[in-house]
Amino acid sequence: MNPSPLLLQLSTLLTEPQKIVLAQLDWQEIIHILRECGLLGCAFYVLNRNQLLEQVPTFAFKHLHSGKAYADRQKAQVHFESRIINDVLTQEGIQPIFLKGAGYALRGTLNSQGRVFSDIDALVSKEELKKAQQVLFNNGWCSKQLSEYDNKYYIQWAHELPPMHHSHRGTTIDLHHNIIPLVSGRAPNFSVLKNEIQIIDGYAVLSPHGMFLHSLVHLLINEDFKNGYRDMLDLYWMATEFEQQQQDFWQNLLQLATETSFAKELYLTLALLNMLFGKQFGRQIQPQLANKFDTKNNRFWIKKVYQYVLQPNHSKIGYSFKTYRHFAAYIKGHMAKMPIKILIPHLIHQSYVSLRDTLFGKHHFDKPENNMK
Amino acid sequence: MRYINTGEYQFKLTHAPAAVFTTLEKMYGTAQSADTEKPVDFEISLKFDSLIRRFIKPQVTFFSGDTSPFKPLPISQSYPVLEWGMNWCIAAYEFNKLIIHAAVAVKNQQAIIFPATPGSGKSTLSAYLALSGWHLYSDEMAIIDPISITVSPLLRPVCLKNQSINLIKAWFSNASFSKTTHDTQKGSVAHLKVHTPNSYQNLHQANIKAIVFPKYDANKNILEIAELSKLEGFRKLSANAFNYNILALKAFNTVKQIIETTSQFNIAYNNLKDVNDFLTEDIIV
Repeated sequence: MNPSPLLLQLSTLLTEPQKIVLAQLDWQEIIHILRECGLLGCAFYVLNRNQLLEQVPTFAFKHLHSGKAYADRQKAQVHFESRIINDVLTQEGIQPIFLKGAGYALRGTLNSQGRVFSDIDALVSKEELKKAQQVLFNNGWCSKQLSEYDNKYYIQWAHELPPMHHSHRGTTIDLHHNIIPLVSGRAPNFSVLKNEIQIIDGYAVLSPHGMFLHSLVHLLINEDFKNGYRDMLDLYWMATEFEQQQQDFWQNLLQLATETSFAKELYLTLALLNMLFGKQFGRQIQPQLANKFDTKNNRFWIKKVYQYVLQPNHSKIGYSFKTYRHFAAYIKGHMAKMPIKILIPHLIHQSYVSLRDTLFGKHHFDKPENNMK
Repeated sequence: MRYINTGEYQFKLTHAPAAVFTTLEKMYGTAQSADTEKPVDFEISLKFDSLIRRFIKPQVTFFSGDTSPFKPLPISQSYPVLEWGMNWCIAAYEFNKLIIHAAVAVKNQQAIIFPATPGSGKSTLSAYLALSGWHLYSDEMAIIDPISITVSPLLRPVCLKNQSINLIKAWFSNASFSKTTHDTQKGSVAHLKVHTPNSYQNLHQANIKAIVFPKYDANKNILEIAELSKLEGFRKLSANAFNYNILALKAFNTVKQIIETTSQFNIAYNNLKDVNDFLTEDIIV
């Protein structure tokens, strides 16, 4: 691909900021994209790590700092919520494993600096699920009423419960019992996940290679690429940090990916990191992966679909066939998650909803706001 | 397309119904070349909602970049929606400054902040003071720097509602108004011009002298003034700071410093002239 100059500037700023100098007008465009992709805080910390903040013009600094203030507050909230969730569940003998954003924050990874969160993800075993939910209900969390259709989706096919909201603080927790939907037939055995746990300051989080693998599985076995670029940045900074910390990081990662049958996804991820950010990670495992997965089919998906849909979801970043590429990724993500006989009725329902909203404006069919149980 | 330079924040409006540009010209004046060189903080637009809606009961949606915070509204409400959208941009993304839901009036470089809930007569009071020799820094949000504890001027019109539109028109026959829009979620609204780019040039960040919580009460014969305890002042001021929760400790310290260096009053009034006299004679030095 020929990435647009704007995307190139954005990606360089967020990974190797020492390599570019931006003019005032470039900053303006970049700030607008960073703001709407929730990346102002990340950019602030990347510049900070490279001692470049002093060279940023006043206009840009003002916005970067504002985003940093917001992200710092969110991080404090994540620590606060995680502590309560950890306390109430461990008291009942359940050790939740904090995943994704909360996991990054609790481990204090580079990619967690300035990152914004939408919710807290915690994993418990399927046997502990009902009890964990009850404990959270008893401590002020509640579930939003769902349409009958959505409810069925969560209960029969998913890997998590409907999100629970705290009635006073308004924070959200997603309680998982696996890392990908059971219906996909690819959900790993819980004991494999359990082996990848590390306890940090009393919190259970995944090991570095477990964290990296979960992040890429979550990104690729998924139909929604709205935060795809942010997720790719997570992977970029985790790879950078973990390979420096641990000599056998890449070998451990390959082993876990092979054991859980996600080696193909690992191959795709390394190829995509190279395409988006121009950096070849994991050279030592590359030959083994390429040997098996450098196929025509995989090259097609990388070059024609993924490398586009993983670009920032912003109107200033345009490319040809945007809708088709996103649609292809949407279908593939769903296919990976569901058998075809479940997938087709699900898509028909979703596309009806989407058509209806395009024609009549999406707010006409909103339910009233106060539908908490 | 046009730039809207509000001083502290620069907006660039890329799309809007033609009538909106006419009103902007009246409220903000012609965009100057100095304005167009200033970097743009927010790129905003008012767009039609859907293909069908473009022709049947047309509605517009406010966008800040790709984000649309409000539900679509009838095209007749375009101008108020634009002003509210601009408020939203500041409220949603400004975390360097403490923002208080309040009007700010300044005289002799001293600012008085009027935090108040809707219906307390805050915007009528704002308009009255702005047209009676005060500099109105905002009718809606006090933008406070947590380090210098000063309040910044915004070049914005005042949003008047319902009966106060006709009252201000009757009292100040030269005042420059936008067309009145009926049936908005706040009732009828009209915007009143209180600055020109030139008059705004002379305004600077001002120190805060007092916090006054106004309450319009038709049954009062005289102006009632009650000084608040520091604790009550702190409670009421922080309750009106809408990014308090995000700024957290910084917000607490800012409000604390404001409370320690100002006096706080509740006032109940029926006559705006009494309020002006009280502020001018007893508060401003």
